[in-house]
Amino acid sequence: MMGKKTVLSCRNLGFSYQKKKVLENISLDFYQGEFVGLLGRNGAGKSTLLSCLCGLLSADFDRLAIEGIDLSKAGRRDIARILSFVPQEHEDMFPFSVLDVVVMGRTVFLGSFGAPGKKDVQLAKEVLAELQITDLAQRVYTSLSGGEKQLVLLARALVQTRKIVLLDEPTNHLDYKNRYHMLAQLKGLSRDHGSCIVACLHDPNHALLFADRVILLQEGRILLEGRTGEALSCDAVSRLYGIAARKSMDDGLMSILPAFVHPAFKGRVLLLVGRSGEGKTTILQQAVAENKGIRFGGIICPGIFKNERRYSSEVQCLCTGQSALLAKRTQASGNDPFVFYDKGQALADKALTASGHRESDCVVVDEVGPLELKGQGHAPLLAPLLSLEKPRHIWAVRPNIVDEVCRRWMLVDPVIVKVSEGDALARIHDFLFNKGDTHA
Amino acid sequence: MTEKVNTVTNLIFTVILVAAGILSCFTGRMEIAPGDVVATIIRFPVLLVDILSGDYNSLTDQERVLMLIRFPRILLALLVGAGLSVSGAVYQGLFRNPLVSPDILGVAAGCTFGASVGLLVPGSSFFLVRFFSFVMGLCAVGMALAMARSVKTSRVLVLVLTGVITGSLFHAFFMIVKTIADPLGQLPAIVFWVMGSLSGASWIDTLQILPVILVGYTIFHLFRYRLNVLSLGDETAKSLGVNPKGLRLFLIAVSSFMIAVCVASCGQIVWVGLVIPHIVRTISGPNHRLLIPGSALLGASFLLLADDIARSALSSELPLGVITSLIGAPVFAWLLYKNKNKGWA
Repeated sequence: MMGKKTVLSCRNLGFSYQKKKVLENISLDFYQGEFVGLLGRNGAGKSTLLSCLCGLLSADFDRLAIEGIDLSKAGRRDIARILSFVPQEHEDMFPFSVLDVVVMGRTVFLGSFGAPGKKDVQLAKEVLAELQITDLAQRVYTSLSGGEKQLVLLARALVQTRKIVLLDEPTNHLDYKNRYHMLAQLKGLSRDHGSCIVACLHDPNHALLFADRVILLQEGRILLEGRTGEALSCDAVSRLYGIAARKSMDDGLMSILPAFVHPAFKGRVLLLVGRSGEGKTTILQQAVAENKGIRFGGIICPGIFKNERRYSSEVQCLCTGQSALLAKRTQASGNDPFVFYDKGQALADKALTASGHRESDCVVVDEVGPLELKGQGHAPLLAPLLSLEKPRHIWAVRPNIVDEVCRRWMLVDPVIVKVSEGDALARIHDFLFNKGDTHA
Repeated sequence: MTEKVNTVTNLIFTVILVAAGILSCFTGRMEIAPGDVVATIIRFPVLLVDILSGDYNSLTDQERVLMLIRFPRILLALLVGAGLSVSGAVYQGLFRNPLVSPDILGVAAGCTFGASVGLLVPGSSFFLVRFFSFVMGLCAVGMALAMARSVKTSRVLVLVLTGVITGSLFHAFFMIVKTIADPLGQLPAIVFWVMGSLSGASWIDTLQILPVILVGYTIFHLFRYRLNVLSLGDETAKSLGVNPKGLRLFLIAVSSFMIAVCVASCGQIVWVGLVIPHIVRTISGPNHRLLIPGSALLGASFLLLADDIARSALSSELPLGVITSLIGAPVFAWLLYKNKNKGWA
């Protein structure tokens, strides 16, 4: 994108809704002639970001400029001449004809008392033809299907301006054909007309196919941005959506699918089930010690028990052998919570980072507990780990949350080993060496 | 293509208006020959000057009936009908809701309260009643707008709710006035005033209303394409380059002013502002380019014909509000039925 003209840029943009921070510290540049895909979970702030970028919501920012115009000083007319916005189709309106709706895109070019003339209607008809929806022209907008409405709203935006077009989930409600029709149109606009297209996309595969650049938004912050091919890795997608995803190549076309649909994902996770203090960590230590030929990664957390409950927890990295204090209770008894230590957490995070485990045979996570089910603790790191093709996984889990863990990470046929069973070690050994594996 | 068809509908509305006007010249107790009507119309400017300068003696009986009773009344009906229904069309567009009527912001309730206070003041003139009514109507809208502003969301729904609040508040005030009114003299006057009537129409009233309605209509006519954009909602209007807040407030102010003037001069005439824009929208579509002139034309004819019925149906005059309700309610029900598959609009 170097050398291309910046048409839209923001620095340190933030937005709060009822004291809740929805967007934070967003700094982005958008260039002429590029198609940018905005990805993120539901509620990550994608729509809010688009609304802020075109000034529909008033955000806090150090700088927000459209083609050099400072947005905090610009009027709606100035903005609308350069930037058009395609909202989601749910807006309700009077039963205008499609042509009326599309012609309304010309509003900004009319005087306050003006009404669109023949030229404006002609332009609207041309755009309808361009989008291959000429036959909708005389239909009533409110009677259209969701997908048709979406195309009509795109037509209205294009009649307005093509310089910068922001789209809020343009592929929603569109059928298989129309979805690709829409995306191809947008791609064509950026390539042939030098338009800057920014669209929220739901499917990373659409981004892979059409977007020049992607911005991954997580909880109102930018997780990652960059050229699609580089930024949109399995690791990034897994982290972004919290579901393990894997890439596959087909005739040079890359696609990303959730890991659980891959046949090879079956039975790759062993859940070591035992109550608190039942000896999960001890068995894991033994398993690691006994199987020298296996390259282990991940963490085990040996701890000190007082009054039959865990008092403190240490974290041990299985790759490097480093260890640090992870958490400690303030008292030996009572219901006091754990206090976590930064050093231990940093070690655990490092030990569980997926990029370090491409060559590992087995990643051990001790343990996947209630904290992880709430999306905290090690949770953000687990999906990227599962997206790796090589390693198997051993997770220590308490009996009462086994089902929930399986559902949450979409584990397929996990091997479940109870600590209380005498042959636990032997079964871990079998798991590590593929024995009893149906498709080995 | 559809645009042409719809311009034709406005032409038809004009024809209806002219026909209603002609019919109204002949409606009334006294029978007047067509020749006399034509003669009076030809001499109209001269006669008007005579009347306004207080010289009634030079007029024939026919001229007197036409000039002093029928013509001002016809003109007043046309103005009030057009004013109410155009304001209704504008309100429905601004509030993005076809079920909104012009008194949604409490204008009518305010006017009614003001008028009842005016009627309560001993020895008050008709002028004072109207003045109170007008001022209270604007107070009610002002209150609704101020309240909506302090809620600090730009959502139109808030405005509707604050309108309901002020409306019911002023209605309560009105009830208090009713209970303390003298049941023999003042109460009937209040009740009749509320039901609406054009019977008191004079040239002074008509000429007072005329500029307000004309200016108001001209403003709406000029902004009629903008109304399309505003009817899409704030967000879309903004992204299409129109700042909705200022314009909406301005248009609300203008239409509230028009309604206050109308209600102050002839009482609460219901249904016109709700049904007429509706009928026009059903016939010629929601585009305000046609809806605004169409509503004005049809609203004027509707109220004129309703007034003809009011003054000739029974030996004593019927309240105009009763006639508009009797016609408006069934028509609205029919529209509801007819539009059942098209969604609301």
